[in-house]
Amino acid sequence: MKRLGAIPYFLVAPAHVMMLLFIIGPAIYVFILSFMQSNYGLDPSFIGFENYKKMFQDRYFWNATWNTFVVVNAIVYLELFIALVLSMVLPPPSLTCRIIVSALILPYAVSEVVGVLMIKYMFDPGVGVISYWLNSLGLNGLEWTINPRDALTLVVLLSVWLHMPFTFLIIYTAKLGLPADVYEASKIDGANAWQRFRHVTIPLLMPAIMIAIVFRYIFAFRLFPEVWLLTQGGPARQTEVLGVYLYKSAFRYYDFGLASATAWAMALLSLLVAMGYLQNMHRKMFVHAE
Amino acid sequence: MNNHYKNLFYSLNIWILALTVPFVLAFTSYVMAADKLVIMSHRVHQDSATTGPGGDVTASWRKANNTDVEWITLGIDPLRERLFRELSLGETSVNIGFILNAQATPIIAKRMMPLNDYLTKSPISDFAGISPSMTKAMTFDGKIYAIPYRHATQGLHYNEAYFKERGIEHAPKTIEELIGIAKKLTYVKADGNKVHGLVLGAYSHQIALLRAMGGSFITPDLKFGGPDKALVAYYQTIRELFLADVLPKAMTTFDQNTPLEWMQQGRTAMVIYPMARHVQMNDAKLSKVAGNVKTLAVPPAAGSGLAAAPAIFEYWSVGIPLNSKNKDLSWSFIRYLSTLENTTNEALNGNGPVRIASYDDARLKKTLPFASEERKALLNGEAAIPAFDNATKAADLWKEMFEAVMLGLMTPQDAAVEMKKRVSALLP
Repeated sequence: MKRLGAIPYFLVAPAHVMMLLFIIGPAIYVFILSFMQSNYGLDPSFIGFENYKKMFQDRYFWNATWNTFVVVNAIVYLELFIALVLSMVLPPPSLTCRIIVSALILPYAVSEVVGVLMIKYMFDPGVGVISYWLNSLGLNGLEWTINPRDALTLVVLLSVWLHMPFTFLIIYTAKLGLPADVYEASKIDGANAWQRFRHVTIPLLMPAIMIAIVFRYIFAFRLFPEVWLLTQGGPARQTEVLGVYLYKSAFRYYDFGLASATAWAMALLSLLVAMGYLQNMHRKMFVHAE
Repeated sequence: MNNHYKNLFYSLNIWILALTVPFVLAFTSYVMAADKLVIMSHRVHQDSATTGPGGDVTASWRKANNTDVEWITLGIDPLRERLFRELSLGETSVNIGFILNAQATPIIAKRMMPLNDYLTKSPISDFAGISPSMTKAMTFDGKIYAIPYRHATQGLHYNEAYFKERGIEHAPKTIEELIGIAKKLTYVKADGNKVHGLVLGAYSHQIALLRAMGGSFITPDLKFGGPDKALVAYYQTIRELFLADVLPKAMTTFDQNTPLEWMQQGRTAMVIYPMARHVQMNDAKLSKVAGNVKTLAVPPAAGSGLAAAPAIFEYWSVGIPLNSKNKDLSWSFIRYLSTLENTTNEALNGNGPVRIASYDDARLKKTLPFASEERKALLNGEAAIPAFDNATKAADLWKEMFEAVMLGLMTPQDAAVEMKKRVSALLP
């Protein structure tokens, strides 16, 4: 095999330097900070695992972890389900299809802050237009201002609305690339529509589904603006998620050590969740391919 | 010299001039430039010091000291974040910073310059005339770190038209009467719009009601306020008002400004809110109920013998970062801003004056219809939460327990017990 000279390394170096400066460097700094007591007005001092101890002993951390777990799973799988259904029912590429796809991905172009505030006003229990319609129909709207479960439900709906286009685009484009001959063969073998979906479409789409799930898990774990702008973690801290817990530690209480420990806990938790999927992906996409 | 060299010579001269003149001008302006004082504050501080019927209070100081003033203005939270960051640096270009009372914790305050020496050598005229409870709260270990500049005292704003509509003839004179009236004022208007009797947005508004009912959250000497009985009675009242729909369901999502908006939109009949906002509530450009909103000190509990409930205020103070330069100049500015005359002029520009004597000014009495009520409240007031290192956590705890009781997630008795336990753990 021909040895690579210095030039290829030189050419990829800027990307690595950037990664070192903006991702790895800050991550190491945050890791070090998680072992320090650090606050505005105080010089940082090493306190060992105290921040982690404090975090694990705080019931609000566990409450936020549980909320994050429930909400993230709900978001990821609801998005996946909707994206999958939409990908299946959309007509073959045509002008109509393009218009529908454009409409479907529109929420992705909306700024999160704008989207959340808009939904917040529409669901306002007193003057919100959606609350008004629901009440007019005799249905009690989501009581998200006083009921934590309703508040988290609204967070899920909001997040799905904002981010579903990402999952949809991955699955839809993968579906467009599926080979037609496999379907022909399955038809000749007598498979009905459900069997074709179950035994042909899903296995062929699995790599794309895995990618969508892993990415959405990682992104959804950082869930923050939806909750912060909607409820700020209330009422009575019942809807806090890890992103809100971290933000409050860092920017309300200026406890940078605890915030850093929380950041690492979040990174490890999302890695833990993603690991199963990543392993599966690796097995299916590379090991079996050899 | 032939023409060719002549042209070259002139061209060179022009180039040399073109390159030199800007440098000379820049150098001259640098040498001649006035000193600059950098102030980090909220926009209201700049406005009250420079704009309005009281005039530009800073003008004569700037002229006398040949100094420009550069205001860096930010919202409350960004200001806190930026100022704290500046205070933690090795050196800052910010000469003066404005800080809210609950944020001036001992750790942060001690990053400011102690002002005792300045007060001795070059005192503020009639320093004792500045609210003593405010100056005391800015004093740690015998050293004062910031001078009070602006206060917002909670008062009761009520919509007189709604009172008439519901046949209520006078404003509440006691807190018990206020609670009864709030229930009567929760109704649906003829046009189908819902009116809530009372709105309590932020913790300071909620604590003002607790103080009026004879309770207290955290005392100025940093003890849990109690008494427990008063806190339980308060929580029972909150739950009762919520069940009666007096307190709106959306209240859990309110920010500092929402009660003002609700009052302006006619969605509530009464709010406990800073008195100075009377102006915005009665501004026809901003408010649907302009001209109908009256403002009073929060009424006291029946049988308390008080003319008004003990007032709750929030206030801003002004200090000099320890790591800043030109501290003498900064002190000169603070000293100048704090005279009685300038405090009154700033009040005419919309500031809450920290000197009681300013309320005796005829111009101010004429401008502010609630001046005498605010004066009454200021004499007998304290901060909603005094400054200590866990003050923000205490404020969040207050909100959490308030909402838990209001929504029935906790009983008033359990909430009072838990509040006492958890607040005590936060106090120094």
